[in-house]
Order: sequence, then C-alpha cells, then structure tokens
Amino acid sequence: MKNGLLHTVILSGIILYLAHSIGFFDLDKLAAGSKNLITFTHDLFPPDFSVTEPLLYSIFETIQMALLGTVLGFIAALPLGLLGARNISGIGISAAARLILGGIRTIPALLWAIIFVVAFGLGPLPGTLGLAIYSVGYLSKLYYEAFEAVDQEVIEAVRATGISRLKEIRFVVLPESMNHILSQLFFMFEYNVRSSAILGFVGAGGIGFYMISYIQLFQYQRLTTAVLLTLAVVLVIDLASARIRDRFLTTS
Amino acid sequence: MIQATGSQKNWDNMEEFAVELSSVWYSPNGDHHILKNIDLKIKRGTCIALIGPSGSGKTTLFKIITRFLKPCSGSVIVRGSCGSLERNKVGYIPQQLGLVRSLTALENVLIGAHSRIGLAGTLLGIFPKKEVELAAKYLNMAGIGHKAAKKVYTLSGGERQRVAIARALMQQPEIILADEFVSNLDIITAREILGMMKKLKGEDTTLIIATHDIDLARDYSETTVVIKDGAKVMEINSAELDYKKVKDVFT
Repeated sequence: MKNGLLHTVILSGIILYLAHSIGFFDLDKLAAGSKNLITFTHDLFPPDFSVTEPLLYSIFETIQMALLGTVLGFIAALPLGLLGARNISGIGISAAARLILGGIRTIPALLWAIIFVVAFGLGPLPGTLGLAIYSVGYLSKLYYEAFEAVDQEVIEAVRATGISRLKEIRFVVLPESMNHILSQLFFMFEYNVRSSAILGFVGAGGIGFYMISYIQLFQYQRLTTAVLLTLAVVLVIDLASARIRDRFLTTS
Repeated sequence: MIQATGSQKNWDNMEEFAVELSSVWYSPNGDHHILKNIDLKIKRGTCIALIGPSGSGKTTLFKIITRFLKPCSGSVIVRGSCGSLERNKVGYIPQQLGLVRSLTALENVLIGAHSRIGLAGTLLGIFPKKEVELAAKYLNMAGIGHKAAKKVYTLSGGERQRVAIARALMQQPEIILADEFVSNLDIITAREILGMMKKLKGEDTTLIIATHDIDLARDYSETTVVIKDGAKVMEINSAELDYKKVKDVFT
C-alpha cells in the first residue's frame, strides 16, 4: 500500500515533467494558440459545397486505393502469415519471417507512400502500393497470431493421419482461422480507408491531395467540405464492415 | 496377450505384435521422468486398456507410440518397424478428439483418406467419388450418417465422438489409439460408443484405449495395463480386474 502510493507519486511526477518540457504550462503560448484555434474554426464555416463533385470523385479514388491496397496486402499476407506461424513453419523460418515483417511494420504507410511517389511519380499508384506494403506488415502479424491460436490438438490429430503439410494448411489451419482471417481483413480495409485519406498529402492520390491544397491556399471552407465528406464515407464503411465482421465472429 | 519383454527379438515373427516398447524412458527436460522403464508388448488384433489416474503418463505413452515424442532411451517398435512410422496406419483419437470444427462431419472423415489421395483436386475440395462414398459409409456405421453435411461445431459431444471414430476408421488403420475419448460422455453413451468401436475395428486392428474408468476397462478390453507415476505397475487379464486390485494405484 505504501509502495503503491510512492509509485503513484513518482509516476505523476514523470508525467508532469513531460508535460512541462513539451510546453503544456507555457500559458502565453497556450493563450495565443487558443485564439488562433478560434479564428481557424471560425474560418472553417460555412462549408463550401461547390467543390462536392470533384471531392466525391477523389473520395472514390481513395476507396479504390484502400480496396486494392488491402487486397494486394491480403494476398501476400496469407503465405507470409503461414511462414511466421511457429506451429506451422518451425522456429527458424518463423523467426526470419517475423523479423522481416517487423521491419516492414516500423515504416508507416505515409513513408512508404513517399518512397513510392519518388519511384513512380504522383498519383494513386504509389499510394496503393504504400497501403499494400503496410497491410502486408500488419495482416501477416495478425494472421500468424491467428494461425498459432489454432488448437494444437487438432493439428496433432490431423498430422497423425499422415496428411501432407500443404493439405494440413488447407483443411485445418485455414478453416479453423477463417473467421479471424476475414474479420481482420475487413478491419484492415477500414483502417486503410482512413489512412489513405492522408496519403494525398504527399501526392499519392485520393482526397488528401485536395485537403492539403485547400490548407495551403487558405480555402478553409472547402477543407470543411472535404473533411465532412470523408467523415461520412468512413462512417458508412465502418458501420458496414463492423456488421460484416460481427457475422463472422458469431458463427464461429 | 502382453508379455514381459527381455526375450530376443524375433524379426520373422514381428508382425505378431502391433506395438513393442522396451525400457522406454521419457522426460521432457532430462530431469523429471514422465515415463519410467515402460515394457509393453501389444499383440496384433487385441484390445487393451491403459488405466491410471490423471497425469500418470497415458497421453505421453500415446505420443511416444505415434512418434510425436521421442523417448530418452529404450526402443519403440510399431508394426515391426523402429524407424519411420506410416502414420496413416495408426489412427489416433486424442482426448478432445481433434476434429476441425469449421468443417463438416464428412470433410473431417475425408481427412483420414488424405494419405491415399493426391494433392491436385483435394486442395480445391474435390475428392475421388470412391473416397466420398467410403467416408459416408463409415459415418453411417458410426451412426452419424444423417449429419454428414453438418459442421462439427453444431454437433453434440457424443456425435463428435462418432465422427472422430469414422475419421480413424477411414484411415483403415492397423492400430487405433483412443485417449480418454469417452471420458466426457455419460456412461450409457460411452458404453454404446466403445461397443460400437470394438465391433467396427476389424479383426486385425489393434485397439488401445486409455481410460480412468475401471468398469469400462474390464468390459471392453482383453488386457488391462495399469500405469502410475509413469511406471507400469500391473498387467492383468481384464476379466480379473476389480476395484480392490487397483485401489492402491488411484489413492
């Protein structure tokens, strides 16, 4: 109990120090910033809906990028996830696969998009590739965890029949983890729709390109329209995807 | 049926025994031994019961026979071979059955046939007609034919046992190992399933059942082997088995 109190005091001290060093207690700065925020918020309204049509077109592009990126990532993530699963590939191969996947995950989607913009030029292609690589890193991790969660007794019972490894994957590992595989695929798609919205900031296609342009041109009322439209689309996709995921999870 | 080992191996006569273990020691870490000096000869075509309290080493012994585990010392001869095991000749039904819950009963039974059929069509889920008919036949024999198309997760415990038996039979095995596989059932269903299994197994097939139920061991096996703390403490004609004789083992 006494120890608990001491820990709380020390932890609070550390957090307060961090807040201070970041500038949370600089009142002048906070006051000026708040004033700017109010001005900025004021400038955002009313939204300018005259740009709705081109924006809808680019939101469609954003969804296209997210969809294609997720599917490409999924295709690569299934075999990589199998390689990363200890109970399927053994300790050596899975460790190597995990190291590579861990490396891929350290680089955020935005940075991948920049790399591909440099390589392929502006447009949705580098954005899609960026999302695909990022999805590979995450989906593979989620997948090898799902594969490892397959009941070892089932795997052993089936191995005891003398089945080949490829068939074991086809008839045990994949069916037993299919609900997770699909549910995580939809989750990844949701995530990619949201993150592809900002890929346009670096010229990698989609609605983000308009957002960053409106910010740079001080056309804040148009920015509001872009944000509202994105919000609406993301909400619809989230809801739909959540419902689909629920169905997978309840039938397992 | 089961004799103490030590006699010279007679290779001409090897097919007489389905399983021969001699001086098998097993320890996962080299420290604490789970199996201690197990000698066991199981004659082909017989039905033997392995009894002992939980944690006595029954499952470990099964994993030694199926070669999922390697003994620290001693020899393990299955079907006359101490080398690689033709896995499809040994049907193994683990305690929790090891069925693929998201596949149908029929698909689970077909898993038993995979070592006989090629890769190409099966990856797409297409099986030879002959094997599908055979699987349906075994499901019928196990009394679960009417639920062949049902996913396993929708079946009850007793129904799953029947599917697991059909899968083991589908391998057309020479040895069937069943690990405590009726322990979760009510006594009437358990007896029904064991009786059916003995009837279905075929004359040359050896059946090895682990259980902690003395009545079941007495009624459904010819020989009972009693294990305690990883050591074989008794080997007895099952008909002579009674509570008094094994009381010490379980207390």
